[in-house]
Amino acid sequence: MSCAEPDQTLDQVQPGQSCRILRLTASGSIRQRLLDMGLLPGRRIQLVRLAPLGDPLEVRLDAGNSFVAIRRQEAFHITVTLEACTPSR
Amino acid sequence: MHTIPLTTARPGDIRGGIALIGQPNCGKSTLFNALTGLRQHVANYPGVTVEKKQGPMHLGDRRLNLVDLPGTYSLTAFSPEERVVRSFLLDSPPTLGIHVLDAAQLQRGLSLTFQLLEMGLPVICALNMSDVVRRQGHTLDPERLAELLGVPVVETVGRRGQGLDQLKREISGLLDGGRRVAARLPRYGALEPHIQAIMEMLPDSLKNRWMALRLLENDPEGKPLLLRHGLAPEPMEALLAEARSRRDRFQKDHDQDLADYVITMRDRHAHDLTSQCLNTGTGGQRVSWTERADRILLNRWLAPVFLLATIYVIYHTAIVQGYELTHYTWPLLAGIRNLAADWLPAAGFLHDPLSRSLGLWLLDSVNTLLNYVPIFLILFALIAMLEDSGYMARIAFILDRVLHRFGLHGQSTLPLILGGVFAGGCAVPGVMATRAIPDPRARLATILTVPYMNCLAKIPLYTLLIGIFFVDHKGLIMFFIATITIMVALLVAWLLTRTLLRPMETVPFVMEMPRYHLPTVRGVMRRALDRTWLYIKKVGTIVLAVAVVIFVLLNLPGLSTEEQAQFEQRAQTALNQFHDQIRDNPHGHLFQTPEQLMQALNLSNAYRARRMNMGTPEAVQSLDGRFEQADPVYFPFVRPGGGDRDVRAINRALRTLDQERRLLRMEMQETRIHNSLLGRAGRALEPLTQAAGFDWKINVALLSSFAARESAVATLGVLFQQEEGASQPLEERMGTAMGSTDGALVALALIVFFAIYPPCLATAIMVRVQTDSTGWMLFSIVFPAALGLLMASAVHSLGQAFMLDAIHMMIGFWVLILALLLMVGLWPRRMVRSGLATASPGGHTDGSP
Repeated sequence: MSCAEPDQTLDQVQPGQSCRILRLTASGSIRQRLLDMGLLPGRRIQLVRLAPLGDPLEVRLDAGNSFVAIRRQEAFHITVTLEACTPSR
Repeated sequence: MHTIPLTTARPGDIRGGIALIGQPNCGKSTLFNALTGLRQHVANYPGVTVEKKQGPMHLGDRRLNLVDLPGTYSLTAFSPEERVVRSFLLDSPPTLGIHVLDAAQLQRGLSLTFQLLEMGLPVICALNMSDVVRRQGHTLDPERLAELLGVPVVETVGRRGQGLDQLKREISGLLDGGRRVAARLPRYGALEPHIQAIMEMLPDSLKNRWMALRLLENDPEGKPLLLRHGLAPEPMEALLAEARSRRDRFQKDHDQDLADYVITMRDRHAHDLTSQCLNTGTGGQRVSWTERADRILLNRWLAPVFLLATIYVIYHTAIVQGYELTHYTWPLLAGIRNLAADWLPAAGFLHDPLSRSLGLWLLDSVNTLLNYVPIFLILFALIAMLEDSGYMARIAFILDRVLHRFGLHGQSTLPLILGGVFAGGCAVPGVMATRAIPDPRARLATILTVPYMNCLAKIPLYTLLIGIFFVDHKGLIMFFIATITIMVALLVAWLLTRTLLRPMETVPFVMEMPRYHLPTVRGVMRRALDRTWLYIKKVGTIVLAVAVVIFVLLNLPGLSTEEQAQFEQRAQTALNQFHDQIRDNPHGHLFQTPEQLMQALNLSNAYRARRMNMGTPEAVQSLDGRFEQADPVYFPFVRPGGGDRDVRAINRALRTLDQERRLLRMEMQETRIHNSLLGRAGRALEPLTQAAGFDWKINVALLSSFAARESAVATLGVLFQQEEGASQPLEERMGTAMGSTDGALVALALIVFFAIYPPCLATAIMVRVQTDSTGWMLFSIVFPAALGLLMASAVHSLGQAFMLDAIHMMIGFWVLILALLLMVGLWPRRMVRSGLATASPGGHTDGSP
């Protein structure tokens, strides 16, 4: 993935890559659940690993010690921009 | 053992208690156990399958009721847990709430603290697991946090009981009214005027910021909540309309979703507070112990290995070793039965008093269940260890992909293992373990498929049939049984999810991966004991009731007068024969009256029953000694071998008589069953089961095995009894009766049917408990029965039509099921995103058909 195309959904991110959440494209219970687990717009997350069969994904929040597993189905609803592409603040 | 009285109290009955609130995995339950000690009540919240725990807490001379609320991340209405916590806090507000926060995830937890404070609930924060934070090299300032929040904050380490005294002091302080709590709430900027306006319209019992915000956020449960709190429909509609128009205005003005705005504001405030009281130190981020462990345990290639090893250890320890343990506990249960057999009115020659036969029948039914208690204790302890350690979430992570494909969930793994994926589990704890599955639809699909697994009680019938028909293909047929059940279960789960369960509520899979913890002995033991006790209580009582019903169905209306007369005549012949044999015997005077004779026969039976439990010659010797002492007159004639010629002659004659008596009683039992209501049902079902090759005897065995599967073999034993006195084992008797060529095919059909057979009664009850719906319980019985019969009929009829032998038929059937499974599993998946996005929030948890 190059920075020419900075916006992608979380299910397209590669293991090891860090990114920042731009927006959630789900509504209702999925949205609420994502927000409850700390997947809020503006948060920095890192894709730690994939499950042995490629789904679900494990994500680390805020470079902290909080880890969340999420199916590709739900990861699709999280639009992110890769950390490397974010203008440094 | 302590008793845990089950209360059926609704949440409203425990007014004024103290509530423990917190997110899952924050150590809430450990803290609860530490605060309440051993006396707890575990029950379900009415209408939902969410576990409700409460127990007394002693503070000086005060006795307070502590309620452990289910773990939730927030107080919206999207999951049953959230709805339970909400209605508890709003409808019967506790005096005080203790919010247990995971100190290592402070920012996320604080958002819930704010909501509690906005509800107007007096809160004490317990900063739990503060040791973890220190280990990460961070420092946390609880005093600063208390200052910023305006509520007491106590550092605790629940597992080591640290901070409990201070927590109790704070509770006492608040209850005495000595300290005022002035909570500082987050501000919502441009939303504030709207909050104020809505608050003014709220009924008194709900006049708080939280409720105002929920209405502005368009809470799906807002309407029933307001009605419950006494708002008339008209002002309620006006209130909702006002909230709606204000929401629309706000969203238009700010070009942002109002709910998002609220969450962002709370999160920002939480971030603010966290950064002020948490010092992350200067050193770089240390890689946590959990992350290091996961690099190995969740490694793409190693993960399946560790998973298989774990499953194997569970299976081996609980099922194999647990089963070994029952060899020690069974003599205990058998001993109780023997005591009861002595104590109950003595048996007659042909007829027993009703109190005796019913009493022993009930005791046998209960013993069958109690026999599994050691297995359950081990199993539940291991599950508790898996749960407490955090590995359970990893199992779900590894297997979710496969199971989700068929409508199940990563967390369905454990229930399926408990049910007996390989061979030898029990569906009752399996169904109980589905509690952990957060997704209601996947949970129900799991509940309905766990009974297909091969429970311990199915094994005796398999063994019997294999022993008769498939001696040369033992391994192959066991492989067939073990694999066919899981394949059928997956297909059924897939089918149900796509049809009946389709409209059900689903929850997205967003699961926290908890830190690894070392489970505590106390916590594990306590959970294992609690769950086993719950099993004994729930299942024991109901099994007793149904055992009575089955007894009646098997014994009424009994023998006709002619049959009765015929048996009596044969009994008389046998007695006459006996008296002929001992006429000239010097000890003959001891066996003249019927009472004397019955004393000898009953003594002989009691001796034989006990002798069967004795392993060593020494034990037999001491048994002999005891019997000799108890009945010095008759025992010499009962003991095999020994004594002079005359004693031995009587012993022989007695044995012949006893054999004849047992044969008569067995034939009587068969006639009685043949005449009985269940026998009639079995015969009435013959046309239906004909295609599968089942005759009425098999039907009766299958019907009676509904109470407990083990009884299938026992009933078959009675029904396929030998014609003459020759003691042929059941295997041979059934073999001759069923014929050897068609018999194997029938046996295969029976195996297929028994594998898919409806859950036993205990499991059905557990399905009722876990789904909270009689409809689903009936479905869990009827559907597998129909499916099983269909498959058994297919196997039998196809085999007959194509002149296939049983083994070829079995392989063909297996390949067919596997092909179906692969077709479903590998079919290109359509994206089902649209369906998920519209999953209705706040829908009913109960989707009874």
